[in-house]
Amino acid sequence: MNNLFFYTIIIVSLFIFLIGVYGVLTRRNAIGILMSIEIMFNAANINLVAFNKFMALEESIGIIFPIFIITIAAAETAVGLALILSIYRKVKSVYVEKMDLLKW
Amino acid sequence: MVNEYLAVFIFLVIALGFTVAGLVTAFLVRNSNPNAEKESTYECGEEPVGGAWIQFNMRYYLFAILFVIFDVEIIFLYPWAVVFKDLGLFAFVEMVLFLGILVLGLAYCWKKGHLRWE
Amino acid sequence: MDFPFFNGQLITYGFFLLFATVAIASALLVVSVKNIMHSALFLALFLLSVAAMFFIFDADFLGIVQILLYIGGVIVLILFAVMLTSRVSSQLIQQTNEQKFLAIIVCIFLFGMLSYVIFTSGLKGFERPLVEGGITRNVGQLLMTVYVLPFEVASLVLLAALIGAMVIVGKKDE
Repeated sequence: MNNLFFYTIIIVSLFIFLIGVYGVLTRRNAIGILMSIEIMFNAANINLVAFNKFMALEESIGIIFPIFIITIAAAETAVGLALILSIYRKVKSVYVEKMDLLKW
Repeated sequence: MVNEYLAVFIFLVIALGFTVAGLVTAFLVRNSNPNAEKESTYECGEEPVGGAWIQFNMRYYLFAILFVIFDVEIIFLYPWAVVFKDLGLFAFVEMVLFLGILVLGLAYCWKKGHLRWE
Repeated sequence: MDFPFFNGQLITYGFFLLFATVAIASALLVVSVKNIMHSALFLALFLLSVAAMFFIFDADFLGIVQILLYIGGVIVLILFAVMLTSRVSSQLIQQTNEQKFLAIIVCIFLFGMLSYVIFTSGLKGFERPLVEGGITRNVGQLLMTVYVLPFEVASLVLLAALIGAMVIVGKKDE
């Protein structure tokens, strides 16, 4: 039962991660890409918490690590969206194929 | 663990059911008779100016960033507050350092005038 | 509360499957819905179901953090950004590019590879006993002793993010 539970969790988080990958690859809107990255972060967090519950690791490491991941994710979102907004001011677009100022 | 949160789950189900039931009943009972006047945005009886999807002022985003950064601070403050009594001075100094570094950011925003609404 | 007919863990498993279904469905909607505003709201639903999963995995502190920070903070940021760029992100413009099939192939390839790794890893899941005194107390103790350096560095990262974002967005324009 525990084994089944454990593997189900990992497969579910794998699915969620792949949905995030799909979103990153197909979204045109830069904000949509950032949202897909949030989905991938959460898939990783589910995995870590599952390891904390079902594996003999250090005490509570699977709780502390996601806290730092969430912290970094919040900082990343703030800076990423700031960059997108500043590009939006210059280019008047949030679509990634319009952001080609550095292309040769 | 699930047993402790079962009440929350039941609450969630009831709240969802209540909302959905209300909407479905309204959908079944009402008569549909839309016109342009009725579909316009409701602004307390005033004539609506522009659409609901307006462009916001960039200033709002600055305050949203400040809010998120100090929101993150709160999640570190909470476990610290739980063990504060056991750990004593060391934990206090650590947290003062933590808060001091973040207050530097707030001071920067203040100095640069980002906190002022022009 | 006790359930006489069922095994407690079976019920936990059932709850997990329920919330996993909600999470996967809402994640699919996030990446496929046309209106970016609706996409952000489905992201909120996704994060809420992940928080429910954290509650199921005995990590109630993390669930609260998820609700407080992600749904209360990050979603607000994303909604602001969507509103600030609403002039160009109307639903009339196509929101996905032409790489759909390529992306699906990449995902299937990754799925095959990662699931092979998972099923041949030979990991054995077993139920760990709950930590004494609750998770929040334990996390606080570890944060103040073992992980005190990452804790301080986190504040530096936040400071850098705050000042960086302010410098990028806060320019007096035109």
